Amino acid sequence: MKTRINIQSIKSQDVKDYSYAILFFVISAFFAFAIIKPVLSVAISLQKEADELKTINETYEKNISKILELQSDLESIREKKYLLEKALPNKPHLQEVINDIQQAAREEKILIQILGIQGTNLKNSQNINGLITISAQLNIKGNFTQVNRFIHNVSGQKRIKKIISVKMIQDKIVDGDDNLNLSMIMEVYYNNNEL
Amino acid sequence: MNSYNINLLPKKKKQLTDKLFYFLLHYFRYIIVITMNVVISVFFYRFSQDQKIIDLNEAFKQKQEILLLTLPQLEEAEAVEFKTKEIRKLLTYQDDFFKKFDYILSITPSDIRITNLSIDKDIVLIQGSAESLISIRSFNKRLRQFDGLSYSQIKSIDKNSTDEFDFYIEIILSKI
Repeated sequence: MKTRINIQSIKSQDVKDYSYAILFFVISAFFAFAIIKPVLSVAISLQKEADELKTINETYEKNISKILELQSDLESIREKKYLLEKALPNKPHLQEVINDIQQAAREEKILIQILGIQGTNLKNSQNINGLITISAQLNIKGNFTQVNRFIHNVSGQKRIKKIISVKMIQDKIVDGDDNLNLSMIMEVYYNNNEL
Repeated sequence: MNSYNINLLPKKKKQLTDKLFYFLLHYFRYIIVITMNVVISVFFYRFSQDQKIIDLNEAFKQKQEILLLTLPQLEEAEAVEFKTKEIRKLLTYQDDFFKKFDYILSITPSDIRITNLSIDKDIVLIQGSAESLISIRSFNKRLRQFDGLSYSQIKSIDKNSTDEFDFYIEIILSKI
């Protein structure tokens, strides 16, 4: 009797409807996972790729506009660029350093007693990037005004010189004028980047 | 007048194929339609996206070429920037050095005679002679007033044979 009731209930309209609904959802789920999901993931990946390319393009565009600005800046300073080359050349140009010091001494009418340059090693410096230091040591004789003006003159030249140490010793008074011995160490630089 | 539909035929038992057809026609068609809609939409979307990606790729390559061509200018700009930065640093050092050097020389009283002035990095040593102690003290006091000096001290004062005072001052400059 009990089994009969159960079979009856299975055959009822409600159970049939639910069975169809469940089957519908199961098949829907299968289609969603097996067909719709891969197709949508392809669409999403395409969208993502397009977005990434768009972002990269925008970045490149910004970079190009920055480079254009840079080009116009470079053009505007092109005429004065030689000053940079004079101040920090790409080669040691030792003769220029010596000439600069001699010229300053000539202008102030003082005598260079010793001029020594050290610190450059052309063979080894090929592999070093950046500033390379050349040390120049000089001893000169003159009165206070001459010596003072010489120091300012040398520092004011286009090739940049960094004064490391200055030693002024009074030698003797000649005709009421102080006679000084100036011993000075300075550094000049060059840039090893071949640009 | 009411009409009645009376069917006295026995109800036909549904076969499995009937049930399957019933399911296909009533339920499965929705699944198929929705799936097809999605697939077709994505198909067309893919067309448009593919074209967009091709265009973007082309633009990207062009821009890359432009950037590659401007690489030497970029390197030139980098070199200019590097030099400018280094020159600015060196000039700042030079300015600071001369500010201190000129200050020391400018405040030296006229009755003080400097016999030895040594400036080595951030240490300044001054040796000289003066007629009075007051001059030496005022010189040292004025040295201390300068911002760039962190320390100044009279190390020694001796009276020499000509009744003058030989002094020795050490100054420590603040780091340039």
